Amino acid sequence: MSEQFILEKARQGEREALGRLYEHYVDAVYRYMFYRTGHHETAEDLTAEVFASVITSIKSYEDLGVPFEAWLFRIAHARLVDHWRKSKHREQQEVELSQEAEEFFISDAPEDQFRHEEVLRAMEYLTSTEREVVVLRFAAGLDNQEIAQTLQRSSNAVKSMLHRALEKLRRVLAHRSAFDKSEAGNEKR
Amino acid sequence: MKNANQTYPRDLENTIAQLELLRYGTLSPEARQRIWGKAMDRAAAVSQPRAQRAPLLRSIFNFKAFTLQSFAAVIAFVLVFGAAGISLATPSILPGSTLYPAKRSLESTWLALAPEAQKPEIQLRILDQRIREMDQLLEAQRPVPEELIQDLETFYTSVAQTPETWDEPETLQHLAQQLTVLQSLEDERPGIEVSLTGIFLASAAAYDSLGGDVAALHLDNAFLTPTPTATSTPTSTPTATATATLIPTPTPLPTPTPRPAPTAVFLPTLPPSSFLPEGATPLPESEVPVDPEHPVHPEHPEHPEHPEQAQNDKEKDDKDKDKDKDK
Repeated sequence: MSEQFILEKARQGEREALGRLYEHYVDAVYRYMFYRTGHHETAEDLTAEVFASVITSIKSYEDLGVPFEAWLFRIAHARLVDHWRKSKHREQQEVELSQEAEEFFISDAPEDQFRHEEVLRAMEYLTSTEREVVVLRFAAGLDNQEIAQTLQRSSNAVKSMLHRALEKLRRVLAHRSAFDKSEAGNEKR
Repeated sequence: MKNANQTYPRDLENTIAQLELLRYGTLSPEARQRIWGKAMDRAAAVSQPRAQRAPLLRSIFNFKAFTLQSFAAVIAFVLVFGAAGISLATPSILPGSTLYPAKRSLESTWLALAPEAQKPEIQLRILDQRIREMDQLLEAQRPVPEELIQDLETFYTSVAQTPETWDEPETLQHLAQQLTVLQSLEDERPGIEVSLTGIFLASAAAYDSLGGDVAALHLDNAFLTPTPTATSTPTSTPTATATATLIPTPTPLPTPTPRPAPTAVFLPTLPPSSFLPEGATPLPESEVPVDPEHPVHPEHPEHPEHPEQAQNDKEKDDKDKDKDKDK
């Protein structure tokens, strides 16, 4: 069953089609919310709000050059901004790895856990916009074009922001690796 | 969810591979069910006709309850995590904002009340905030206040002056990250109006004073590349002036401890002999080369640039003496 067909059914209010869309996108939306808010429960609540908005407004959705995924993440982005504005919470720099979140994300390999935590720490050095682009790209899995449609920016602007963010992360991570190696070397001595 | 494949430069491959970890994991069936349930409830509440929604009075009551809960939560948050929580959770309050002085004040309180052992770590985290603020100002193309730059320079200078009070591995790691980020700020915005050189050199001096090797960070910064003349050419007199001009606003640094390979850029106030390699002796006075632009005449040091003028003065003096004798 194509996504176009499911979308059409969802627009007609078919609950099963809505459920399929939800199943398909819920992980991506949750990951986006988690890495942007840094809090498991908040991410869960905001994910529910996003899908509530989808359920109530999908009738008005038309693919006029904006694919469903970009439309969905536009809603997610708007909910997030709304959350910060309403709750007077400012954006968190740090991501809390609570027990539930760890169970959600991490494979059993300790090396992956270490690298995951390492990349989260490195992301604290990104600006809000850079983090938004990185999270949309890597946690939510959008491509540059979809990110551009989500944030209503040009593709070139997104590309350059992403490159800048990656370069910054590369520097931070590269240095951390070097430092850890030198520490390990000292311990051996 | 499709896989958004895209090509990236080779040197970013490792970073990309690490970022791919962000896409790991799926929600448990229970969590999916829970979120779906909440979404349906909220959608149903929104779809209700206005008349069926909660009465106004109840809404106000809920609002009050929410406000009280929020207030209590904030108090608890402050008590548990200290002012740092508020300060670090408010990265978007930037210099120029009306809330900014309050933010800084909270940071100071937090620092003042913290146990001595935690102060270095807290100061480093506060410094992270300053760097983020600078980054955000630059990104928004807003001017970076001089005070912000001064704050950073002062802090790094204080680290360089009192290296013994800093927990070395932690501070080194933190400083290295900050240096890296500062470098990337400059790389990303070539030609930015604010000069990061002073901060850069001060932070590098701090890193150096703790025994870190700045060269090992491979930051590609012209100001951090040691000049060979400064360390290996004892007969080259311009080394001292050349080094001093690298720092636009020299800050007094402590007397440097001798190192096998000193990085001259961090030592702006050293006398020229400090750049001599171990065992080398400075040139005797008489062998000091004459500056071609300001030659000192051996017989007329008071007229270094115009020996002929000095000669004229001497002749005039002699004539005056002769006149006196005639009288």
